[in-house]
Amino acid sequence: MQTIGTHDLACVGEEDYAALALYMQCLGKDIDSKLGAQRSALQSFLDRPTIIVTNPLDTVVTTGAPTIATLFNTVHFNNSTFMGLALNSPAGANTITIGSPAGAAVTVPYPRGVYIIGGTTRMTAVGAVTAFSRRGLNITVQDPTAVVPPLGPREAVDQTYDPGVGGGNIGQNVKFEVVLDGISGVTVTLNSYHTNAASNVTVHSRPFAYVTYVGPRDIVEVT
Amino acid sequence: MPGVTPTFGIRFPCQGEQIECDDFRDFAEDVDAALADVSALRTLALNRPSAAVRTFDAGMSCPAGAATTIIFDEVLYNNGMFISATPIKPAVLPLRDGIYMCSAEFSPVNAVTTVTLQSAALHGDLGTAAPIARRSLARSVATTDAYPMNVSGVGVLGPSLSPLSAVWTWSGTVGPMFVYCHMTIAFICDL
Repeated sequence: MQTIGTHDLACVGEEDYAALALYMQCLGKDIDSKLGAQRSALQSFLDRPTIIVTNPLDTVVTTGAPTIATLFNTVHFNNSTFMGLALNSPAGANTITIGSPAGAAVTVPYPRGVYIIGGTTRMTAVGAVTAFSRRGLNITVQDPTAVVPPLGPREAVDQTYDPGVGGGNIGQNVKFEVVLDGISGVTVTLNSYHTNAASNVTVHSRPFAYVTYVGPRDIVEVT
Repeated sequence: MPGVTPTFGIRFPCQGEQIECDDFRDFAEDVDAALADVSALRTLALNRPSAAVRTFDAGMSCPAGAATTIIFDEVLYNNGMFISATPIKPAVLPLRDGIYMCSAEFSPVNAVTTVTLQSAALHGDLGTAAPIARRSLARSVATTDAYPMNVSGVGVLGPSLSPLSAVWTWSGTVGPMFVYCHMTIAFICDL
């Protein structure tokens, strides 16, 4: 038996015709293994790690505590092995985590590179509207193990205003990119807030926030 | 009784069995099927589904006080989406269930008498009323012009889920407001 081609597939020789069954078994398993590796690599490339979080219910943000960090409490979709939603961690906040928890042993490192982060919320005053009071969504990213100064913004805010003309449903929409250069312990904190003094404000059900990994920011080729 | 490989189930004769022409045929067919399986993934990787649509430059007529679903007039490019034939193109439906990055640029093109509030949104997720993305702008002084707006978000879309559509809403007087819209969608990953 000899091997041929760039994939070293088995090839029967003149002296091997008595072992055709063994040859087909070896060849079949070899093709299976090498094609399986290619399929796995392609699938990994196609399944870009992404997490989407939401809240199935309306949430009331009071005038007494007009900023909340616990709005997003449910994972809507997650195909990654290194991202999750940590409830009440730290206390009073639900955070999207990337890698192992901050300060813990690094058992789940995250892939370094570019991440797209964003979210959207809708708010309506429960009662009276303080004209042109603010409705906001603030997303903050902390990467405590980064070894180099971060590139690009680590915080993004969309602040909109309710003119009090009726209807409410004031929307906020944030999207930005960050480069994560550490190993683990990243937290993405999502704060919703308002300045409506006249009444509480409802954040409508099904707000969405997401993190998706784009890929490394540089590729080192070893030749 | 043939053996099979673990990943693709390629059949092969076991030692001691009599080898027949069917064994070679089965082997070749199974290898062919495995190649086709990987080739389909390769094609998807090289041609990630995406599309872009837009209205005419003159924009779409949007009356005050009502949420208006934008009707698109032109397909700029389309790779792997279903878009209705001319002239009604209210939505883009991916042919593959998955997670998609969606965005839309809205540009009002005419003046109205007054504008007090304007909102742009992308809809789709699971048929609920909740938008993929929504943004609002309010004006504290009397004005006749609305601002351009951009919204973006991640949608769970596909043939067994929902299509993607763009919605414009404004409050004010007189009108209609004509709104130009350019919407894009790009595949991120499978469900």
